Amino acid sequence: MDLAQIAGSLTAILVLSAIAFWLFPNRRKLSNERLLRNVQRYCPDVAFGEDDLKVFIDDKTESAVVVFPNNKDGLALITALGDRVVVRHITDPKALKIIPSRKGITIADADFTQPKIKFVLGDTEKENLLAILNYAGDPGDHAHA
Amino acid sequence: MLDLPAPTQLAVPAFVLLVLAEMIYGWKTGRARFEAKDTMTSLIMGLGSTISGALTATLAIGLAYWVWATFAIFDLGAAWWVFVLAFVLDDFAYYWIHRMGHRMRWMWAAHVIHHSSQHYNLSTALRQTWTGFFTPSILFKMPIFLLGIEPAIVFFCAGINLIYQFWIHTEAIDKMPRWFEYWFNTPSHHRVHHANNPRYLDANYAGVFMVWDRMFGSFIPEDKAEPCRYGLVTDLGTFNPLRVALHEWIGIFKDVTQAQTMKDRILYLLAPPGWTPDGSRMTSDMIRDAWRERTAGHKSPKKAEEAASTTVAAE
Ligand SMILES: [Zn+2]
Ligand SMILES: [Zn+2]
Repeated sequence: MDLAQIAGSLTAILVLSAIAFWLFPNRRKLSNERLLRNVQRYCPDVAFGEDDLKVFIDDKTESAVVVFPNNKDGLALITALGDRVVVRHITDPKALKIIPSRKGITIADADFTQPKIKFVLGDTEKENLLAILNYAGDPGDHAHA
Repeated sequence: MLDLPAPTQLAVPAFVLLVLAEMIYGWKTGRARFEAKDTMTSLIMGLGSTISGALTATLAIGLAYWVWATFAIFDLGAAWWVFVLAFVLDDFAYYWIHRMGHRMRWMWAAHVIHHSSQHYNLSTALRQTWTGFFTPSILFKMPIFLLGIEPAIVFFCAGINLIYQFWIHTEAIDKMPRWFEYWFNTPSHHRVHHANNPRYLDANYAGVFMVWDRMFGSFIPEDKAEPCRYGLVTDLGTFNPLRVALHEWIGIFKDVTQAQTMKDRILYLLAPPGWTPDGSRMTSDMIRDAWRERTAGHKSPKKAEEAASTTVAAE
């Protein structure tokens, strides 16, 4: 395999990806229904009713957090990957690194295939998300949630 | 040494044109779906696989020729029937390499790449491993060299085999004629192989001939009532090609270095993906058993239907 072949392949990759982008625009949104359906799929053994959950969705980054009612079940981190949804069930939320910044919040996890999830938020939304995460991460501190 | 062409390299322009054709067909009919970043990742993985294959080819070919020249029982030559025999034997070896690729974590670390897309289209066929050389897969082909078939013929047949497997990565074709579905691997059979629905896990390992799955009990037919949902049981949350290529190796490294005993270290390599000493993660067998239990637990027909639909509808 020589450099010309590699250059030709890279060009073909860019052209095909651009055509895919053009022909198949991603218009799917991370709706509440889609979110819960996927959480159910990834966490089949967690019992929950829709009303018991604390749900936070960031429409801008299409990331979300779902906190389960029973503290031992932890929470689910949800992200849209292209037009699909990926969920991580976090049974020990205390192990997550929560990094607030001026623009929002980043949740980092020791997960090589999904190292961080970003939320772009205003101040009030930031407080709401932090409260939800605090609720999941600190069972002794529910009064502040 | 026989000088035979590399079929997969010659086929690259056809692959590109066929991916384009499927895109246009999918755009017109809705019977194929692409996502730009997913497509780009698959194609980059394909290019990387070709490059890594070229870099490691000398060693693999050298080993194969050494075994053939030193230990071959017969000298079968290069008659047409040797090519036919090589193709069948190579496909049989492929079946076992592929089966072990799903059942042994060391080999899964390389093969998982091919299953890491949540889409199923012709670009998925090109999403190939960068690290196949670092698994024991070549050992499965040694009996063919020992029998006396020259490695160049076997590698040539393996190339044709891979080309065959390109066209089956599509949702645009529903079913082939019945006789064809019986003997050969088809889009329908391979969709099941790429599905992460619990009932479809670890099935249909065939390359070309479907009979191996029928003979060794790994055949599961596609059921229209349960549409395939593609990807891994825990899908990747990234399109980064380096993370896609290396994630399971990193996982193995972490587990092996943190393991308490030598037995656990070895089992982290040789046991099925998801195995842990304390059962804290799930293997495909455990996922399937849990799914069966959940489905059986829903006694009334309506509830059972609901349980089934939660396994099919999500994506
Ligand atoms: Zn496979
Ligand atoms: Zn495949």
